[in-house]
Parts: sequence; structure tokens; C-alpha cells
Amino acid sequence: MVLSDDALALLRNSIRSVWALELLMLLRRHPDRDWSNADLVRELRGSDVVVQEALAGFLGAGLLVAEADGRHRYRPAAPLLDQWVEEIEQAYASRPSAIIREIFNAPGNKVQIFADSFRFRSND
Amino acid sequence: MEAVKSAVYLLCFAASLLCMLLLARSYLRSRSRLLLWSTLCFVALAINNLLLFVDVVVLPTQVDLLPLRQLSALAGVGVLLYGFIWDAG
Amino acid sequence: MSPTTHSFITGVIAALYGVAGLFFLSFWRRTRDGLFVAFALAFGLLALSQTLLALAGLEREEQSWVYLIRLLAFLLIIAGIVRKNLEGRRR
Repeated sequence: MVLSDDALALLRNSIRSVWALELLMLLRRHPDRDWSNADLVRELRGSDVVVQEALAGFLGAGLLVAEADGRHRYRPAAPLLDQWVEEIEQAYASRPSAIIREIFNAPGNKVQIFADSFRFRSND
Repeated sequence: MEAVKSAVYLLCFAASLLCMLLLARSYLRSRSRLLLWSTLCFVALAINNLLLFVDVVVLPTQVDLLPLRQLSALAGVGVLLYGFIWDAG
Repeated sequence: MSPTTHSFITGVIAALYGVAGLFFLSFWRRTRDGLFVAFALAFGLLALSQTLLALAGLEREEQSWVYLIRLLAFLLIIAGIVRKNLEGRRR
């Protein structure tokens, strides 16, 4: 694996899907912009549920801040976090398949796929 | 009373069938082995509930399906645990 | 099948259901997805029903009220699935 252990831990624990990774990179490219959920759904051509879940995960990981009007902006709670995200981003650019495989194989993810099977309308 | 029992068994059968179909759909999409074992578990549990219905409601005196009922329950939960142990980690 | 064999197998099924329930509980701890709570409780109830059958020496759950526990278990699973779908739509 091309990632350091710390970046790998962040990837495994906080980035649950390729959608979430794309969303994080989009936010990181525009650190000065506040994004509404509708903006993100449009930009990623994803679904509302996927965007909501990814945002909630990143908020919990301290990668984003939520504004009062419900918009979100990329602002890691610590500089180290940004460093790890950058590491993931570079690895995703150079070896996307390795990163995607890592996301699929994350321990929480297999179990989450089980739970998400029970959504009638899937959003992946 | 018998009508209540038939309704209960059919409901349990329908619930396990629903789980089976949703898990199978998800397995076909993700090819996750954990979902394969879970699907097979609910195939067995659906069979288990169907056997219960047949045994009690449809053919109460003609056949004794008890051994098959136990076998299907055992197979279902066994295959689920196999998947949990090898493919959920 | 002798009654002893039957009780033994019923006990084995009870234990396996119980272990599966514990696995679902650990999945809930991992993901905090409420669906796993429903599955954990449902498999716990299935374990309970098999335990009661084995202890009471009953061969057939349909001859007692024990089959109502099975009903409750599957109702919990249905409720979990419904909740999972409503949750997705609301958010």
C-alpha cells in the first residue's frame, strides 16, 4: 500500500465509498467555498442520501465545518488531517484501483453493505 | 387459532424471502462474499418457515417434516456464522 | 429421531442463533446502523424460542405459544427494514 498507516486509518474509518472520496476531494479543491447539499448532489451527480451520509462522516472526522445555513466547507480540525487527505488524494490519482480496493475492503464497509442491502431504492 | 398460525408462518416466510431477495440483489451488485453467505442463510430460513407452514397447516397428519425443519435452521444459521467469521472482518 | 437427539440439536440451533445475534450487535457497534439492532434482537429471540423448546422438552413449537416468539423476531426484522427505508428518505 502506498499510504502511511495514519492516512490508511483515515481512509478506512472515514471514507466509506468512492462517492465520499470524490466529495471530499471536491470540497478540498475549493477550500473557500460553502457548499449546499443541492450543489454537491448536482456536482457529483449523486443522490441526496449519499451526500448526506458522506458529509455526516466527514463532520465526525473533523474534516469539515457546517455553517449555520446548512452549508459545508472543507476545514480540517488539525493540519495533520489535511496532510493525510492530501496523501490519499495523491495515491488516488496515481493508483486509483488500489485506493478503491482499500475502500471496498475496509472492515466497517463489508458490514455496511449488508445493512444497505435492505434499502429498496439503492443509491450507489 | 389455526388461521392465526397460518398467517404467522406465512408472514415469517415472507419476511425471510424479502431478506433473501434484497441480499441477493446486493450480492449480484457488489459480489461481496459476506452477502453470498447471508443470502444463503435467508434461503435456508425461508425454507425453514415454508416447511413449518407445510408441516402444520397444509399436511398436518400426512408428513413429519421436523427433521428437515431442524436441518434447514441449522444450515441457515451455520452458513451465516461461517460468513461472519471468514468474510466480515 | 430420539428425544435426546432432538433436544441436543434444538440446543445447538439456539446457541448458533445466539452467537449470530452477538455478531449483529458487534456490527452495530462498528457502524451504528440501527438495522443491526433489529437483527441482533431478532436472532436473540430466535435463540430464546429454541432454548425454551429444548428446556420444556417440547418437540414442536406450534403446540405452544413459543411460535409467537418467532413471529416477534420476524416482525422486528420487518420493522428494521421499514425504518431503514424511511430513514433514507427523510434525510
